[in-house]
Amino acid sequence: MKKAQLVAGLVLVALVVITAIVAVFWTPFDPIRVVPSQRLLGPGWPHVLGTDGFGIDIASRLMIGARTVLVVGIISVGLASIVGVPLGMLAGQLGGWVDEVVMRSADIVYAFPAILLATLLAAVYGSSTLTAMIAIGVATIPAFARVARAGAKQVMASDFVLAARASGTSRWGVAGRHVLPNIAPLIGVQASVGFAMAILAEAALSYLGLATPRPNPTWGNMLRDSQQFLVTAPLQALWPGLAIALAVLGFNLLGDGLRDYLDPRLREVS
Amino acid sequence: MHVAGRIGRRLGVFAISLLGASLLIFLITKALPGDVAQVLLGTDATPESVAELRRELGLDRPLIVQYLSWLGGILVGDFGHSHLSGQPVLALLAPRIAVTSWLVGFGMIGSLIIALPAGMVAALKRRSWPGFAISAAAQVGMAIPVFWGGILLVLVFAVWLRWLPANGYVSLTKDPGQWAAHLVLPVVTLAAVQGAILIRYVRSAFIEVLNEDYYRTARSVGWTPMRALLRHGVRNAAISLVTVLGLQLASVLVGAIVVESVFNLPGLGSMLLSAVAQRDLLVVQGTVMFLVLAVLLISALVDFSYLLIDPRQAAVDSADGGAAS
Amino acid sequence: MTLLDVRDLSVSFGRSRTPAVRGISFDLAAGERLGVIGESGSGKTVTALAVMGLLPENATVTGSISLNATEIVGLDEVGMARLRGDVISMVFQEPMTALDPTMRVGRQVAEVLRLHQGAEPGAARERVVSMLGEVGLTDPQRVADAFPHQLSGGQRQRVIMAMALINSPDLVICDEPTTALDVTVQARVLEKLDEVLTASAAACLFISHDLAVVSQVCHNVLVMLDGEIVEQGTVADLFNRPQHPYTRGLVATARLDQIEPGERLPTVEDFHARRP
Repeated sequence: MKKAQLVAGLVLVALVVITAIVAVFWTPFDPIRVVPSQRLLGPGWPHVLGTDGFGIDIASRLMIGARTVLVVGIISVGLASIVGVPLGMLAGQLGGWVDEVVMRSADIVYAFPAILLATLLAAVYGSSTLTAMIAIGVATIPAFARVARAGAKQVMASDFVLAARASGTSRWGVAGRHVLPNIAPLIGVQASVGFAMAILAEAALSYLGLATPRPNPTWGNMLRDSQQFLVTAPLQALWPGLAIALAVLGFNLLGDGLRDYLDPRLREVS
Repeated sequence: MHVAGRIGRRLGVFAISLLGASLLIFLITKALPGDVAQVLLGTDATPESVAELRRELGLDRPLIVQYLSWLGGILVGDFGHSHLSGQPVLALLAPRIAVTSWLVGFGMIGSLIIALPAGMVAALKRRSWPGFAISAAAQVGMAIPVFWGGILLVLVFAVWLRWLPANGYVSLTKDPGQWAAHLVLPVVTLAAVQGAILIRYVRSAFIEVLNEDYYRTARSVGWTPMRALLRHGVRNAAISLVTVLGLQLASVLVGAIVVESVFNLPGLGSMLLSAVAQRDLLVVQGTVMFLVLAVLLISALVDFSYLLIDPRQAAVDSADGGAAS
Repeated sequence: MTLLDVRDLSVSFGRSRTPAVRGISFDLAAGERLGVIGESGSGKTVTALAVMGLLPENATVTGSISLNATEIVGLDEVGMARLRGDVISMVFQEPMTALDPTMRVGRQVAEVLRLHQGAEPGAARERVVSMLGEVGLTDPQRVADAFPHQLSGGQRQRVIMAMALINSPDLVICDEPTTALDVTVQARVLEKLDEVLTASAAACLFISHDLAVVSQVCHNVLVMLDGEIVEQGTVADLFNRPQHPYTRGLVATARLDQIEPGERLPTVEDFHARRP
C-alpha cells in the first residue's frame, strides 16, 4: 500500500514534469494566437481536447500551464527553503531567544495566507507571475522553518552531535556536517508537499486574476475563462481542473510516500 | 491561578502577532518604487497633485510616525479611506462581513460534520478497506482546487439539474428561503474541501485515543469500539483538534474568498479583489489588515476554548492527596 | 462447578512464527482464585486479554475458552461486549492512565452500572458512592465528583476496582494490579482486593510476577514460561514441593531470607537454564 502511494505519486509528478519540459520546445498548436473560426470545438481531431472561446487549442494551453506550474513551484519552494531552512536550523540549534523570535515571526507570517500577500503585491505592482511566486514563497517560509527547526532539535539531542561538540567541532561545523545532512530528507518531504500547496495556491491566484495575466495560459485562469461557457461548452471546465487535481495529488502522494519510506530510517537519527 | 496566567500569555501572543502583522503590511506598502500617492493617482498625474496627495495622506512624516498613526487608527476602527470613493474602509466592509461570516461559519461546521464521522471510522478501521477508502477519498478531496469543485457543483446542480441558483446572494432578512438556496452550493464546496483536509487530523487524533489506556478500560467494561470512541474519545480528541481548527482558520478564509469569486457573493473577498483591480491601495491595505486581525482574534478565542474543554487546565496543584491511598 | 475452561489455547500475532501462547489448558471453578505467575513475555497478559476478547486485530486465536458454557473464541464483538463489565471484568496494571481524564470519576463508574443494568442516574449515584466506599475510599462522595487528575495512584486503582466489581461479575481478571503502586500502598490495596473479592464471591485470575503477592490472594497457582504452563498446583504445593526447575528457581529467589549472609544469592538460571 505504501509503495503504491510512492509509485503513483512518482508517475503523476513525472507526467507533469515531462509535459512541462516538452512544452518549452513544442506544443501542438499556438497557445496564444486567437483563431475565431475554431471557437468552442469539442474534443476530437486535431484538437484532442477541443478549443476554447478564442479558438485556441486547449491541450496546448494545458501544456504551457504545466510549464508555468513547474516554474512557480520551483521558485516559490526554492525561495521558501532558502530562507526558511537556515532560519529553522538557527532556531533549532541555538534555542533560547533566537528560537522564540524566529518562531513568533513564523507564526505571524503563517497567519498571512499567500492570497493576502498576493493582493498587497498586486495592488502595488500589478498582478504577474512574479508577484504570485513571491507571495507564495514568502507564505511557505514558516512551514520550512518549522520542519528544519524540529529536525535540528532532534539532531542536536543525538549522541553523535554531543560527541562532535565535545571534540571541538564548531557550531558551523556541526550545522554543515551533521544537522543539514540529517534533516535533508525531512526537507525533501516538505518540498514535495510544499510544491503541491504552491500549485493549489498559484491556481487559486490565477483564477482570481492575481497572478499570470491573460493571454498567457495557466490552469487557474483557464478555469476562469471556462466559467462563461459553462452552459455551451461544459467540458472546457473539466480539463484544467483535472490537471490541477492530478498534479497536486501526485506531489502529495510523493511527499507522503517519501515520508513513509523515510520514517523507520528517521528513527535511527534519534 | 494557572488559567489566568495562560489566558494572559495567549493574549500577549495575540498582541505581538498583531503588531508583527501590521508592521509587515505597513512595510510592504511602503516598499514601492515611487509611493502610495503615485500609485493612487496613476502615471499621468502631475507632480504637484502627487505632492498634494502626499501631504494629505501624511506621507511626508517620518516612517515611525506614519506607522504608529496608522496602527493607532486601526485600534479605534479606522482602517483607512478609499481614494476612489472617499468612504472609510470599515464602512465599505460592514455590509459584507455578514456574507463572509455565513460562508466561513457554515463552511467550518460543514467540514466538521464531514470530517468527524469519517475520521473516526478511518481510525477504527484503519487496517481494513473502509479505512483505506476514506483516507484515499480525503487525499483526492484535498487535491481538488476549491474553485473547480465549485464550478463542477454549479454545472451539476445549477446548469443541469436546475435545483439551485448558480450565483448571487439574497440577504437573510429579505428572503430566508432564497438566502439558504444561494448559500448551499458555496458552503458545500467550502465544507467538502476543508473537510477532506480535516479528516487526516481527526483520524490521527482518534488513533491516539485508541492507543490510550482509558480506551482499553472503556472496552473492558463493555463498550463496543465505536461507542467507546464516542463516549471517551470525542472529548479527548477535541483537545488536540481545537488547536488544529484555529490554524485552519486562515485556510478557510482563503477558501471563502475564492468561493465568493466563483459564486459572485458580495463578501469581504470580492471587495478585496475589486479594490486590487482598481488599484485602490489604501482599501486593500485596510481590508487585508482587517482580515488578518479577524483571523488572529478568532484563533485566540478558539485556543481559549481548549482551556475550557480540558479539566486538567483549571487544576490548582492538588493538595488533596487524601488519607485513603 | 467450572466457571472458566480453557483448552489448548494458542495465540500468535501477525506473521510471527513464535506463538505468544502455546496450547495451554487450565480451568477455574466459581469463586476460585487462580494466580498466574511468569516473567514478561511468558504469555500471561496475552492469556488474560484472550479471555476478555481484547486482543489486537492481528492476533490469531485457536483452541477454546469456555465461560459459563459460553464459547469466547470466535464470539462476535457485540456478544463479547455484553459479557465484559457484567460477567467478566478486568483490572489493569497502570492506574494513572486508565481513567478518562475529561470525565468525573463517579460518572465513569456509573457508566458501567448503567450500561449493563440500565439504572436511572439518581439510583446509580447511590450505588456508585456505596461501591467507592466498599473499595476503601474515604469520603466517597468527594471522590465521585473528582476528576482523575485530582486523585492519587492508589485512589485511582481503587476506582478501577469499583468499576470492575460494581456489577458483581463472576470472574475478575487482575493484571499486576499493584505493581505500579507505591510499596507502602500496595499492601493495603491488595488487602482490600482480597476483601471485596471474598465479599462478592467472584472468581479471580490474578496475574503477577511476584510469588509473594500471589500467595496472599490466591488458592492455586499456575506458572507460565515462554507461552506454556510449566507447573500448576496449590500455593502451598508450589512453595514447598516445586517440581519444575523454573518454579524451583522462582521459589528460591523469593525466599531470600533463607540465604546465609555472605553466601551468593541464587538466580533463576541456577535452577533452570534459559534457552539462548
